[in-house]
Amino acid sequence: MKIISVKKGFTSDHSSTSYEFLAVDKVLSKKERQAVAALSSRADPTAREVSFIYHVDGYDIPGGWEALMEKYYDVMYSESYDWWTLAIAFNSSKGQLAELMKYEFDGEDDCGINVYEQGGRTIVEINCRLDSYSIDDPYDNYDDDSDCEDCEEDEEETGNSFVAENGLLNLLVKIREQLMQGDYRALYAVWEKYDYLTDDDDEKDDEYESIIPPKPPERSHGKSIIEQFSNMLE
Amino acid sequence: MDNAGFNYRYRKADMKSTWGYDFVKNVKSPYISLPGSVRYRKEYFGGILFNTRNGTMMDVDREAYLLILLIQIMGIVDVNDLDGIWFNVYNKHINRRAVIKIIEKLLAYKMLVVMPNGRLNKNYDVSFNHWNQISFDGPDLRLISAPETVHWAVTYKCGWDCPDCYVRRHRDDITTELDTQEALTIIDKIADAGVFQLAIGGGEPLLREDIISIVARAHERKLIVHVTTGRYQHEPNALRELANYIKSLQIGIKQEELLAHPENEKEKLIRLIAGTGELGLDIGANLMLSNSTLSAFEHIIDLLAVVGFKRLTLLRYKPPGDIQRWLKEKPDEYALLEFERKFSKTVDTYPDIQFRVDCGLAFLERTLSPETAEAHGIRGCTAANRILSIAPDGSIFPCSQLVGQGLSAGNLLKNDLKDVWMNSEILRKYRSFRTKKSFKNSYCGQCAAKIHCGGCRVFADDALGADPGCPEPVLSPAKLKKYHKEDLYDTILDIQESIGFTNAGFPYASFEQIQGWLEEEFYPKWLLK
Repeated sequence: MKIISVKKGFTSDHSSTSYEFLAVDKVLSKKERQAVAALSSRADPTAREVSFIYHVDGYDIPGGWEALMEKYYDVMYSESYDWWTLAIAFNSSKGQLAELMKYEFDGEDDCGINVYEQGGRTIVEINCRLDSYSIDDPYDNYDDDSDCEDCEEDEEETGNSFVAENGLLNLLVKIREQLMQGDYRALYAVWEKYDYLTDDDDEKDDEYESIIPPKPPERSHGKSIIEQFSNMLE
Repeated sequence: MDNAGFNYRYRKADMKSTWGYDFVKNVKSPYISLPGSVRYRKEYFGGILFNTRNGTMMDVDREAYLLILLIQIMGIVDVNDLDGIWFNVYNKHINRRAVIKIIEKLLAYKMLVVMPNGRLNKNYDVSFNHWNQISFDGPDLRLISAPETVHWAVTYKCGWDCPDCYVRRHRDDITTELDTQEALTIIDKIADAGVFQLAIGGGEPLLREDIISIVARAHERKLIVHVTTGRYQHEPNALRELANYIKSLQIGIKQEELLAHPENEKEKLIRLIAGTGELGLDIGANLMLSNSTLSAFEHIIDLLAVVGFKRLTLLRYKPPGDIQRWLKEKPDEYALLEFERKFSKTVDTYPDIQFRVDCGLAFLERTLSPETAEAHGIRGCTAANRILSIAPDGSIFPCSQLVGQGLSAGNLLKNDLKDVWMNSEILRKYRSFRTKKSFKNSYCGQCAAKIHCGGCRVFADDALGADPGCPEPVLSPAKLKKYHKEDLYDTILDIQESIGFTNAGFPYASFEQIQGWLEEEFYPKWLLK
């Protein structure tokens, strides 16, 4: 049961494509922020975050979101007509990239995982449906110094301690930490959710051959993160 | 009855708007219904829902369409009962997640409404027990049952004689127009076929003395009517009368006049927008992208924004009757790519304006993934597939650009619209152009965007194949080379090399001269016949 397409009519509505980016490992310099701001007159990048929103069908970030992940940001999510893209970028060895690529798949309803290397960074892209009701409220200990004019001088790399205001970005930061440490449970959860073989629907594609990714070992550490993430996937 | 339900009543109502669940705030009761403003039509894939208030068109699959039918039959439905109703009717359990998702989306697009004080029918329980196996007996042809929109040029007459008007091409082919009675007959046929929208244009449609009778009949027959006009000034009473029957007025902008006399033209447009606003009439502007327009694009958009347009539709420059004019005003590939860059910025600069592009500019959306394009209903050329065109004499054509000998599918005065739609060879040929050899073997047919773009047929030499004006088909490097879509600049340099240079090192043929020779070949051959 699905809606195949929605074509907007003669009057505008408020449907849109939106992006939220977050830099975790380091803040953006003034020059970098200027470069990001140049992509859209309505983008107002802080030292760590930027949002984009497009109300016109077919219009998107010039150069694509991937370029921003390559150069400036570490996690991103995008929502367009209930389709979500979650992206995580970090530096990894060739060996880890190969490990991550084992989790790539194209599943049902355009959902799946892509892993690739761009500009020396590993980018993990998760296409999914999310139940936004299950996303936690913003964290209290928000520490973005976006209003600080001199923040790029003052703020050193803060590593994994950074917590953003946005619940979903925070969750992605935590998943990123897990991936960087070789814990791929989140990717396995996506595969379990959307792979054709795991679909309990009667209509299965007989011709589809699923490549089963390695099942990550059970761990108690970070289990709640995986549970939260799995529950969000629709 | 399963009362476990969906618990809409207990849903959080304070979600962030950026997550697209704003409408949940409005879910004040579990009672949902189909609003009278939504029309729906069964199709081979499921059905089409059309919101007559905002024009949103939605394709849903068969199961989702059955859900719509159930809601329609029940009148008002308690969403908590859908499980039970579905089981009663189809003898199987419903996929709750899918239903919740779809109902949320239907509410968001106002295809469903929440009845905050909804009262269920007295015989509610009985009625949903009564319905047995609503089967899906929709047609299984890969063709929708009727056009979504019919474009009707009610006259080719016009007092303006604009040099870039494409109607100049057709005037000699179509010399008569329907009288009032015939026009009303045509409207009845269009409405009977189940068409949702009627887009009336010309020529200048407001030159017809019976235009009010025409739009009134279309309105009466539940068609959503749009009128495109070149007139900036209207008699207040005439505009008021028109506004009673039409949904939107689209103004063809005379950009040369606007640039030559901006204050004068602006004043007229400001008055017009104020007048339509008072009448609750939706207004937009059409802007044709000739070279003259593109050279002042930002300025023109700024003028149109200043006067208050909230919807601008950009039209690709189509061949007018005059080849010299075409050569002068046709944007080349570089101009189109430059426009693309400008347009992206413009869209960003004017967030309050809804920009739309015609199907001739579908290549602007070429980089979208096919899935995204499908989700947004972006289909590129839909001639004879979702749209149909009627000429002033009632002749039927695949689209308003594809008018001429050998392209007519019949005449609506003599033929039944449904019959022509289902059986016409011409229409069949156009709706399946993507499967034809001349298209498949072209770079358009090899392009990654062939489904959601496909180019514009009017530019093809045979009116069916590739669009030679596409500035940048999405091809692999090997295919780019094969289809000679490498840099035009290099091609011109190669030609200059082969012609030779003066002793002083100047080429015998200038860059512009060679570009002119190359472009001259681009006037569609089918229009030269």
